[in-house]
This record gives sequence, C-alpha cells and structure tokens, in this order.
Amino acid sequence: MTNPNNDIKNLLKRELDDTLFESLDFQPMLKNEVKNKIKPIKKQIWIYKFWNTRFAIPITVGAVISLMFFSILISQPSDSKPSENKKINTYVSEGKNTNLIKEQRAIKSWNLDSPNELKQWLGRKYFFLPIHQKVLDSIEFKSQEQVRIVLTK
Amino acid sequence: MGRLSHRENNPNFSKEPSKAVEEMMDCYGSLILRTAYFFLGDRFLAEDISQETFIRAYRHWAKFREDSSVKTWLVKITMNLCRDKMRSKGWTEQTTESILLNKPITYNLEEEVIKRINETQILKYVLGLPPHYQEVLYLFYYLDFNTAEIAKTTGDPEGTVRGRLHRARRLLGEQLKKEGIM
Repeated sequence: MTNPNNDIKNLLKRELDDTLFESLDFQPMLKNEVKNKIKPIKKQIWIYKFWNTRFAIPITVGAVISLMFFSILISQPSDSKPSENKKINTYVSEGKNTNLIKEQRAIKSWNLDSPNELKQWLGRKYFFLPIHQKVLDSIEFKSQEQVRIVLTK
Repeated sequence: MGRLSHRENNPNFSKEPSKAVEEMMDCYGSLILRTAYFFLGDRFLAEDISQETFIRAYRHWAKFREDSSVKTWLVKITMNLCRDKMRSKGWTEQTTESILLNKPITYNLEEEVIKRINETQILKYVLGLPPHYQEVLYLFYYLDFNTAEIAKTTGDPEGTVRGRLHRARRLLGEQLKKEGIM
C-alpha cells in the first residue's frame, strides 16, 4: 500500500523537474562567474583580516602616542628668542631693592671714546624703568663721569 | 535530464571558504537556481540570485554555526534575496507580504511550457494555490524539508508552518479529489 503523501511528493517532484525546471541547471559558466566575483572579495577579506590581526593594535597605540606627544608640544609656551629686528630694550633697576639687574643682565659695560659714540649707540631706544616705559629724549654730558639722560613718556 | 543530483545529509564542506563554495555549487547549485526561479519566475533573475547566494555564502562561511544544514542555510539566503528583490524598486510584478508573495507567481514561460504545466496532475493545482501555500509545499515536497527546517528557512514559528502545511495539503487534496486523482 502506498503512502498518498509520498505519491504526491514523487509526482510533484517529477512534474516540477519535467516542466518548470526543465534544463534549468547551474551551469559551469555560472560557477565560473561566481568564482570571478569571489576573487576581489577574497582580497578584501584578506586585507581586512591582515590589518585586523597584525596592525590594528600597533597602529592604534602609535596614533595615541603621537596625539599625546603633539598635544603636549602644542600646549607648551613658546620661548623662542626675539628676532633681531625687535627693539632692544634696556632694563634699569629702580634701586637696591630690585633683583632685576641680577636676573637679567641687560646692562653691559662699554668703553666709549666720545659722547657722539654714546649717542650713536643709544640712538632712540626704549628704556624700561620698572612699570613705566620711557623714550630717550636727550643725552647731556656733564663731565667725563657724569651723563644726563632725559627721558619722556 | 532535469533531476537534481545533490548530495544529501549535510556533506562535509571544506573550511576554506572558496573551496567550500565550489563544493556547495556542485552540490546545491541547481537546487538554489530552481528555488530562486520558483519564487521569482524569471530565469535571468534566478541566475543572479543564485550567484549572489553563493557569494553571500562565501562571505559568511566562517560564521556559519552549523545549527542547520548547509542546504537549509543556502535556501534561507536564497529566499531572503528573493524577498529583497521583490521589495526593491522596479519590481512591480509581485509584492511581498509576511513571507513571500501575495499575488500568484507570474512566470515568463513559453507557451509550450504553460501547455505542459496545464497537462500536469498536481503542479497546476499547486501553482494555483495562494503563494504562502505554494512556498510551504515546495519546501516540503520538492526540497524534502521538515517543518522545523521550513520554520528556520522562512523565519516563522514551527506551529505556523505546520498549520500552513496542513491547510495547503488539505486544499490540494480537495482539488485532487475533485479531479478524481486521489
């Protein structure tokens, strides 16, 4: 005695194969197309895996270190030397109470041969007295040791 | 001629994806192509879908958990691709509902084939059933899936599949009785 379910199954299979699916097979041409389409994906997957496994951690660590380094570098104040074009300032102490001269030895000693030489050397320079900025107005030579410097605001 | 000759019972496939895909194409190529054709009714689209199925299988082969057979997995990919295709813009012939189609499948068939289908004893009635019944009958009878495998493939609960299969077989049986075939 046959099972009606199996009868239906076998009959339906046969009818599908003979009518709807007749000559409908996955041809070698289709297989080759799939293989060709897989090739570039294969490369992508390989590169992805390669980077993921071998380079991801070192690259991340490197990037973090470089970021930290540059952020420290940028946040530091620039202490570059003033350019030669900048005006040279002369610092004069207010008296014995200040440490300015000790700290910043701006005043140096020169042997000047004539008052003109001094004038030339001073030119029109800015004098920084503590707090106030003064401009050199004139220089008077009282004697060999005494020089009067007139400053204006 | 026309008979499927795929190896059954989950053959061992290579772990290397490209080799595995070659083996899968040898085993299930025609089955996948026919499944796509059954749902889409267009040979060229079916070829595209079957190729895409194997490309997807290649991409995800490493993640395949073997909680189902390779055959079930491939058919599931195929059906999902068919659904996507039917949902995509430009596909106006058929629309999708919860599972596959809500209109009868429109085949681009030659008159000769249509004539032969009309001469069949069962197929013409199967193709006349609502699409969700066609689908379950195809999976059950042609692909030899059990209800659990059909549920995995369609994403429906197994109870729903069982009920749907029962109704489909009853409807088919009624038709066959009317015609005096059963």
